[in-house]
Amino acid sequence: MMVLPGCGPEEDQEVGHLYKNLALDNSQKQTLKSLVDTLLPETDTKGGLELGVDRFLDKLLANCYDVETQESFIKGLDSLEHSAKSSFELSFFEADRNSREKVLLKMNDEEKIEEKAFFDLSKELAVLAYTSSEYFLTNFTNYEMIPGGYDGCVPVPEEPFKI
Amino acid sequence: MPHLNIKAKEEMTYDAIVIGSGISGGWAAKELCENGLKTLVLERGRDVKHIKDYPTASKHPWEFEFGGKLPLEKQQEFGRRGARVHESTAHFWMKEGEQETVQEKPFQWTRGYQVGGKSLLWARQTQRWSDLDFEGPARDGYAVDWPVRYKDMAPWYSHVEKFSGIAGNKDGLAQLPDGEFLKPFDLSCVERHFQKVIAQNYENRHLIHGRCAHVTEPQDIHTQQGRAKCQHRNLCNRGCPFGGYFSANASTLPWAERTGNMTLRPHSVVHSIIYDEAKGKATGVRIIDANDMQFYEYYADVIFVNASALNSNLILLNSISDRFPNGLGNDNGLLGKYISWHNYRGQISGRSEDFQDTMSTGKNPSHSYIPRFRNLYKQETDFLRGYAVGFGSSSRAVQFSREGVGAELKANLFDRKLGPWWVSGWMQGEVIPIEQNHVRLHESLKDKYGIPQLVLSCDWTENDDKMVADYMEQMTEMFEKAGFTQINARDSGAAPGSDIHEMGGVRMGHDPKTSLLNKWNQLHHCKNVFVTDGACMTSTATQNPSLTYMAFTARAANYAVEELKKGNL
Repeated sequence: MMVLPGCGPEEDQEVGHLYKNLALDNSQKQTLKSLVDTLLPETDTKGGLELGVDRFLDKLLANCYDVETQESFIKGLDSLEHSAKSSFELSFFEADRNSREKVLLKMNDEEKIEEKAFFDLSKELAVLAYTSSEYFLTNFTNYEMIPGGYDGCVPVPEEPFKI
Repeated sequence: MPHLNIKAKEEMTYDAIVIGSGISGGWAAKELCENGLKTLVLERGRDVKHIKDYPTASKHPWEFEFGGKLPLEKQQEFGRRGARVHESTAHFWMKEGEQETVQEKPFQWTRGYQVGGKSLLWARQTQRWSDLDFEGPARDGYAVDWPVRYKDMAPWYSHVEKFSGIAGNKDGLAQLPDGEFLKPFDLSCVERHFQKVIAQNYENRHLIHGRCAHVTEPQDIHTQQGRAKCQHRNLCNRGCPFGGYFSANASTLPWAERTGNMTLRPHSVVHSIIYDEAKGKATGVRIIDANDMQFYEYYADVIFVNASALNSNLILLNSISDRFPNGLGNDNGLLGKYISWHNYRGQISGRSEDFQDTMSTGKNPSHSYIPRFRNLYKQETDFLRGYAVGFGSSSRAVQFSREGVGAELKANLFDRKLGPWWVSGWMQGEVIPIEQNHVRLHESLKDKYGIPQLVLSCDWTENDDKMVADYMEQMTEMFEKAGFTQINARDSGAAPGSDIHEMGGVRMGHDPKTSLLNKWNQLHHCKNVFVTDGACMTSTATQNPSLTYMAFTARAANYAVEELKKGNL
C-alpha cells in the first residue's frame, strides 16, 4: 500500500497493516493458485499468477467478506479438487490445462447453485484484480491519473488506439 | 477564584463564533476574519487540512489494498451502507452511532462530520436563483414571501463566484442569471446534438453547460489561495490536491486562517446557544468536547449558525431559556417546520447509437443542465412549480466480454471496443414546503453526547408525485425527439433527503409572526444570531443550493460587521 508522505488520519493508516488470510491448507492453496492460472493463464500477455491475482483473492475474501462466503469459497476449492480426482485421478493442480478448464467449466452450471456461485465469484474477483492491475491499465488502456483536459467531441482515431 | 473565572472567561471570548466549518461556515469565517473579527470556528468532527489529509487523493486503482472495498470491520462502522462505502472516500463518511435520530418517516440524512463538512463531497454545481424563484411563494401562494429579491443577492453572488471560481457559459436566460464565469467545460457530441434538438422543438427549454465550482482558468485570486487549474481527474470526492474545485478546506478556511483572526476548534459538538435575558441577546455557545465529553462555553458578540440545515434546527431547538422555552427565537412555534428538499426521484437513461465516428478524450467532472421550464411565467400544469434536469453524456461506454475461461477469457479482456454513448438525466424538482414536514426534538431519547435526538418527519406530497410523472413524460418525449434508444424513465421512489439538499425550518420572511429570520438572516427575536445555511431557506427553487448559501452568508457576515461597528448587536 502506498502511504502518502506525512498524511492521513490515524484510522486510515491502519488499513494495509496486518491483514488476514483465508485458513487454507497446502492442498487448498495449490488449488487456488491453479484456479487463477486456469482462469487467467500466461499467453502473449502476463498471467494472473504473475500479477498476484491469487494472493489478492485470498486477501480480499479473508478481510472483506463474511465467514459464510469464505467457507463456501473454500468448499468450492475442495469441490474442484474432488472433481479433478474423480475425473482424472490427479490433483487439480497436477492436471493439464485442458482438463482443468473442463473441471472448472463443469461448475458453471445453473443447476448447481453452490458451485455456480463459487465459479461466478472467483471469476468476478479474478477479472477485477487483473483489469485493475498496474500492468493492465498502464499498458493496454488509456488510463491516466491526470488527463488535464476534456474534449467532448473528437474523431475516433485510426486503429490501433487504446481505450 | 472569581479572578480566575474572569480570566478564564476572557480566554474563552471572541468577537464572533461560527458554528460549522462547511460550505457556508467557511464563508462566514472568511468574511468575519477579513473584517478583523477574532473568530472561533466550531466543528464537531476532526480537522481535515487541505492536501495533507487527503490520504487517497493520488492513489491509483491498483494501490488500494482491497481493490477499493473496505475490510468487514470497517464496513460495519458505517452500518447498513457499509458495503457501498469505497476505501477512497471512507474517511469522509459519518460513522454509525455518531448521531442517532428518530425517523418518524424515512429520511436519508447524509452528514459530513469533519472540517470542510460536505464541501469535500458535493457535486459542485452552482446556479444563481432568479426572481422567478424568489417571487415563487408570493406568486403561487405557498410558504411566505421571500424578504429578498435578485437585486439584493446579485452583488453577493458575484462576490462569492469570483473567489470560488465558477466555470460556466453566459446563456442570457431570465430563469438562470449569468454570473462571473470562467470558461465552461466542453459539451460532448451528443450534448451538442441534444441542445439543438431541444432548441428546435421547444420554447423556454435550453440545454446549457453545467455551471460548476471548478477553476478552469485560474485568476489571481485563485492563485493567491494556492489553487490551480482543474486537472479533470474526476476524483473530486477524495479531496483535490490541485484545489481544482471549491471546498472550504482549499479555499475559505485557509484564507480566514491567514488573517490571524481565526481559531478553529475541531471535535466541538455544539449543545446550544446561550441566551442572556438581561442583555436580551445571545452571549455564547455551549459545546461538548467529543474527546473528553466535557462541557465548555465560549462567548462572542455575534454568532453564525452554519451547522448544516437540520443541525442548525436542532441547535436552536435545544437552546432553551426562560425567555425562549421552545427554542431560540421560536415565539411563533414555526422553528423546525416547513422543512423542504429537492425531488430527485425522476430518472431517465438511454443511449445514442449515433456519432459512432466520434468520441471524447479526458474526463468531464461536470455535466450539462436544463434549467426549469415548467410554470416559468405562469401556472400551466396541475402541479406547482417545476424541475431542472441534470444531463450527462460525457463519454462512450468501453465494452468487453467476460465470457469463457483461460486463453478465451484473456483474449476477451483485451478486446476493448468503443460502445454507444450513454445518456442519462436526473430530475431536480422543487418541493413545496409545508408545515407538516418538520423536525423536532425527541422528548426523551438522547444521542451519545446527551443531546436530544432529532425526530425527522418529512414526506412526499401529491405535488411531488405529479411532478415526477411529468418529468418522465417530458424527458421521454425529448429523448425520443433526439433519437436516443433504449429509453428507460423511472421513479426511484427514494426517501426524502437522498438529494442531500435539505432546507428550511428557520425560514426567512418579512413578518416575525410567520418566519424566524429577517432579510439579513438575523433571528427576528435575537438579532446577534445569524442563520445562513440551508436552514434559512423559505423555499427551495430547483437550483443546487450551495451557491445561494454562500451568497447569503457573505452578505449577512458583512452586515453583521457593520451592525457591530454601529453598536447595534
